[in-house]
Amino acid sequence: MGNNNDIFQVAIIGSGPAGLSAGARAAVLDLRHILLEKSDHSSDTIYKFQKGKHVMATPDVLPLRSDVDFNMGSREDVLDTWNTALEKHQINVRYNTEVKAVSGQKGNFELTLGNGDVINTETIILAIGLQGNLNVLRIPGAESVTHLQYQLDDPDEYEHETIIVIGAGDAAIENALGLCTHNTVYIANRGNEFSRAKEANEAAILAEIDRGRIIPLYNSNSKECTQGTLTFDTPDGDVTIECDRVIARLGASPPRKFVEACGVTFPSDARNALPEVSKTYESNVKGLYIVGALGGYPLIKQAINQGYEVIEFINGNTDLDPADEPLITETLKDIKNFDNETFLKEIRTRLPIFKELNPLMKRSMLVESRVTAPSHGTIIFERGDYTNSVYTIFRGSIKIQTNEDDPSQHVVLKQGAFFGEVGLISGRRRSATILSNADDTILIETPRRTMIKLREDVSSLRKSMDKEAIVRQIQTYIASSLDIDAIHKLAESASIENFRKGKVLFNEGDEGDALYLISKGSVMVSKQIGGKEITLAYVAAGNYIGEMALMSDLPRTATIKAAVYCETIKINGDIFRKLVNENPSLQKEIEEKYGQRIVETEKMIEQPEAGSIVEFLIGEGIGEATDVLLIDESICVGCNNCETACAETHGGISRLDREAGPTFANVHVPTSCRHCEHPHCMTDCPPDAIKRNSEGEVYITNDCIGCGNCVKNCPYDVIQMAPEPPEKPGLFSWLLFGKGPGPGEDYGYQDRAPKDARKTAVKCDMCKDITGGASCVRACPTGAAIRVKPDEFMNFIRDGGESI
Amino acid sequence: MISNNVHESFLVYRGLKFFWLAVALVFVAIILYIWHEPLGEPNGGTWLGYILGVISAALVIWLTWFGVRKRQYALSATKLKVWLSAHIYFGLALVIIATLHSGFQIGWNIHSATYILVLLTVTSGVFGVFVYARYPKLMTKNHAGLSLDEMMGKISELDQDILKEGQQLPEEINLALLEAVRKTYIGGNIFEKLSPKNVICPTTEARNLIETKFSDMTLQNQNISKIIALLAKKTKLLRRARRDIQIKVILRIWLFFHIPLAIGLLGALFSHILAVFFYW
Repeated sequence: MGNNNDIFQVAIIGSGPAGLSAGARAAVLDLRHILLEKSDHSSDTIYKFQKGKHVMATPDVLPLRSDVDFNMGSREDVLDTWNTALEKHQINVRYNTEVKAVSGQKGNFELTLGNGDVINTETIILAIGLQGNLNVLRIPGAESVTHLQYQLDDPDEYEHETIIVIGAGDAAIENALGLCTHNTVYIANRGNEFSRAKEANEAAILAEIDRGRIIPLYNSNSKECTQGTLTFDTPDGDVTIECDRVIARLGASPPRKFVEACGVTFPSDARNALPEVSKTYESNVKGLYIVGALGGYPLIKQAINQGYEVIEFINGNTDLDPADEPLITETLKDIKNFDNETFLKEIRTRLPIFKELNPLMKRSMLVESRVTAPSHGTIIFERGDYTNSVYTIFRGSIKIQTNEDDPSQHVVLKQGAFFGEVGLISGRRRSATILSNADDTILIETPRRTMIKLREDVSSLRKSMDKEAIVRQIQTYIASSLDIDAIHKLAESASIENFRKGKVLFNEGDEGDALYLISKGSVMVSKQIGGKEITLAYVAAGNYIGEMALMSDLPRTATIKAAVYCETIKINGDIFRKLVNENPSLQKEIEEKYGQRIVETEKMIEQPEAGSIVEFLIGEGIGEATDVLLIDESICVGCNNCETACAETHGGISRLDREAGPTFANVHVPTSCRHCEHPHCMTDCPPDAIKRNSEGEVYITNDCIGCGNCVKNCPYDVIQMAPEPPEKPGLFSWLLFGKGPGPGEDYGYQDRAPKDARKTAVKCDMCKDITGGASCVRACPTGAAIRVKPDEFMNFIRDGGESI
Repeated sequence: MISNNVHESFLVYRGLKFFWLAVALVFVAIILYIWHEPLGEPNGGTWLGYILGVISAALVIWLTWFGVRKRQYALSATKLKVWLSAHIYFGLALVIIATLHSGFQIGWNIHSATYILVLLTVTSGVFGVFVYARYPKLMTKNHAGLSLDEMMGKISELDQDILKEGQQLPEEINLALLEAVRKTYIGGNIFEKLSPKNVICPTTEARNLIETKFSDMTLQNQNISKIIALLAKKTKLLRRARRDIQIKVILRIWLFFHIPLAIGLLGALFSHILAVFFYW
C-alpha cells in the first residue's frame, strides 16, 4: 500500500504552527503529504490576532527545531515568515477545506471533506488547536443581515459608528475598549457583571462605563436582528437599537466533538481535558497523531517543534529525543545516578502531588524547576526570606525549625512530601527556616508561576496542597506547641472560606462560633462607637482573628471586613475551645494575644483620628502591601530630592511621583510601588519578567517586552512605559566642564525619543541593587519620607504618625 | 519600635546627637580661649588662633561639601537627614569658633570680610531651619487634603459655573465676572508670590462690586446671592492656592541667599588663608 500513489503518506489537519511545521518537514523529507486548512489562509488563530499584536517566542530556553522559522515579533512579521516557508518548501496545502469525518485505520484512513470529496491517507496528524468553531448568534435575521460579525481585526478601522458588542468575556471587553475612543459603543451582557473576565479587563470596562464612553446593556438577551438594528429582550421589555455594526463575541465550542468522532478518547469529562498521547504523539487510534495545543502544548514554539518531531516519528526515526531533552539534562546536571528517563518516571512514584501530571506537563515542570542535592545541614531557605517557590522532596529528608529561638525544635519531612506552599498562598515571608536533613537529599524547586499554573490545571495537586497548607498554617500561626494529632483534629474541622474585598467575615454582636486564620490578604477591624463605625486595626495574613468571643463566651466585640480579597481558614469554635482548655500552654498564648489586642483597641479608641488614617491607608492599598512609601507632610519641605534621587539611581526616570497621590491628615501616599503580597503586575506578564527577590522587592527584569500589561493591571498607577535613557555624565564633568544634564536635571530625552522607540515597563525596585536601602528615603533631608512594612504600620499610626 | 527610629526629623536626630557634639566642641574652644594667655592680644596668629582657624576652615569646607553630598544619590553610607542634622549644629558652632579665632578683632580687610560672610551664611541658614521647621505644617494645614492642582481644578470648575450664572445678571456685573474669570491669576512675579495680599484680584473686585452696588438686589434676585456664594468659594480657594505658592517660595527662597553666600565665603576663605601666608 505504501507504494500506492493515490494515497497520501500523511494528511495534516490544521495549518497552525504545528501543522505548518509538520507540512514543511514532510515536504523536506519528500513524503506524499497534504495540509488541510479550513479557512482561506494559514494559521487562522494567529491571523485573527488584533493587528500589530506582539507574538511571543517563549520559552526562551527551548531551542527551535523545525524547517519553519519563528522569532518573536509582530503578528504580521510572524505570518510573513510562515507564508514564506509555505512557498519555499512547496508544502502541498489545500485551503477552504474542512474535514467532516474520519474513518478507517492506520494505513488507510478516509477523510471526508466539506464538499463531499474523499482523501485517502496512511496516517493523520491532528493539529487543529483548541480554538474550535466560533459560536454564532442563533436569532431570527442573524443569517441574512450584513452588519453582524464574530471577530474584530483592527478596531481603528471603524470611526463614528454605533457598534453593539455582545458578550461579557475578555474578547468582548477588549473589542469594546478598542472601539470606544472613536465610536458609540454598547456592550450587551446577559448578566449584570463582568466577573468572568480578567481582573484588569473588568476594571477597565467598568471605568469606561462610569466615564460614559461605553453604554452597558445588562440582563439583555439578543432576540431579533434586522438590517441596521438589533433587538434585545431586557427586564424592561424589548429594546431595539439602531446600529452600524454588531460584533458578537460568544466564545467558541471546543473541537472535542470532532476529535471524539475520530475515535480518540478523553481521560475525563472536565471541560479542559485533553486527549492522552504517547511519547511519539500518537493517540489511542493507531496512526492518528495529535500535536499542538490539543496535544497539551499550548505555546507556539513547542507546537512548531512537535510538528517537526511527529513527521520524524512517522518517518521511522523513533529514537529522536524531544527538543527539551538538553534542558532536562541541564536541570538534572547535579543529580547523580539518575538518567533523564528514570528521573522523569520516578517523579510519578516518588512524588504523590505530581502523580496526575501528564508526561508533557512533567517535562515542562522539570525544565522550569531547579533540581538540587543539598548535603546534610544545608539551609534551603531561611525564616523571613521572601521567596515563594515550592519544593518537593524527591529523595532524602528535610528539617523544619519550628522555634526560631531553639533550633533543636523541629519537624522532619521525608521523601514525597512538599514544603513552601504557605509562602506561595500567602505571598508573605517564609515562616520557618528549613535545612536538608540527609546527605542524599534531592529537591525539586518549582517557581511560583509554574506552580500557580499547575495548581489551576491539576485539581488533585491543588487539593492535596491546600489540605497540607491548612495543617501547616494552623501549626505555624496558631498552635506551634500542640502535638500533630491535635492539629490534624483542628484541621479536619476547618474549611477554606474566601471573601471578596469589603465582604464581612462577621459582625459586631454576632455569636462567636469560629476562629479565622487569614492565609491570604488582610482584614480590617472596626467597632461602633458613639453611633459611628471606627476602624481599630488592620490584621495581615498569617494572623488569626475571632478568638475574643471564643475565649469569653461574649458576642463578637468587633466587625471584621476583608480589606482585599482574602482566603481564610475557618476553624470550628467548639473544637478549638475544647483544645484550648486541654492545653494550658496554648491557653496562655491565646490569652496573651487576647490581652494585647484589648490594650491596642483601647489605645485606638482614645484617638479616633488614627482609625480614620488606618481606613484611609487601607483604601490606598496598604492592606496588600509589603512595603510602602509614606510622606509625613508635616515635615516635608517639598524639595523633591526623593524624586531626583530615584531618577538619578534609575537611569533618569523617577519611579515615584511625590506630589501625586492622596493625603489624609499629615500622611501622604505618593504614587509609588506598594510591592503587593500578590503583585497585580505579575498576573499577566507574558515573558515572566516581573520577579520578587528574597527581600520582597518586586522588580522588572530585562526580559520585558514592553507589552504594557502590567501598567494596565496595576491598580495604583505606579508602573510606566519609558524608552531607554542615554548615559549621564559624572558629577564633576558636569560641574567643571558643563557636560550634559546635571544631577537631578531632567534629560528631556523622553520627549525627544523617536515615536517608535522601544519602551519597556519601569517601576520602583526598592533600590535592590544599591546598598543602604531605598534612595528616596536616604535622600530626604528632613526625614519626612519613610518606608513602612505592614507589621510596622499600625505602630506608626498608633504613635500619631508624627514625631517632630 | 523600629518605626520610631525610621521616622525622626532632622532636628531631633538621635536625641540631638550632633547638637551635643557641637556644644562639646564649642565648650572646649571657649575653655581654651579663657585659659590661654597669649603675648599681646588674642589673635588668629597665636597657636590657639591657628588651631581654631584650622578647625573653622575645615568646618567651612565640610559644610559646603553638603551641596555635593546632596547630589551623590547613589552613595549609600549615611542618610541625607543625618548630614543635614550635623550640617545645622556644626554650622552654628562655626560662628563661635570663628569668633574666637578672630580674637574679637574687626576691621576693613579680607579677614573680617570672611568673618562677616560666615555670619551672613549662618544667619541665612538659621532662617532656613526656621522655615523648614515651621512651614511644612502650615502648608499641610492649608492643603487640607487638596493639592495645588486639585485646587486649580476646582477653581476652573467654579469659573464655569460663574460664567453660566453671570449671563442672567446685569451687564455691568456680567462684564466684571468675565473680567474676573479671564484675568484672575495665581503666582505672578516674585513679590506677588511672596505677598499675595497685595495682589489686585479681579475676582475680589467683582465680588466687591456686587456687594456694594447690588446688595439691595440680593433679596429679589436669587442669581445674585448664588453668584456671591460662588465668588466667596472661589476667593477662598484663590487665597489657599496663593498661600500654597507663597509657602513653597518661602521654603526655597532662602537657598538663593544661603548658597551664593556660602560660595562667596569659600572664595573669601581661600583669599584669607593666602593673605595670611603671603604677609606672614
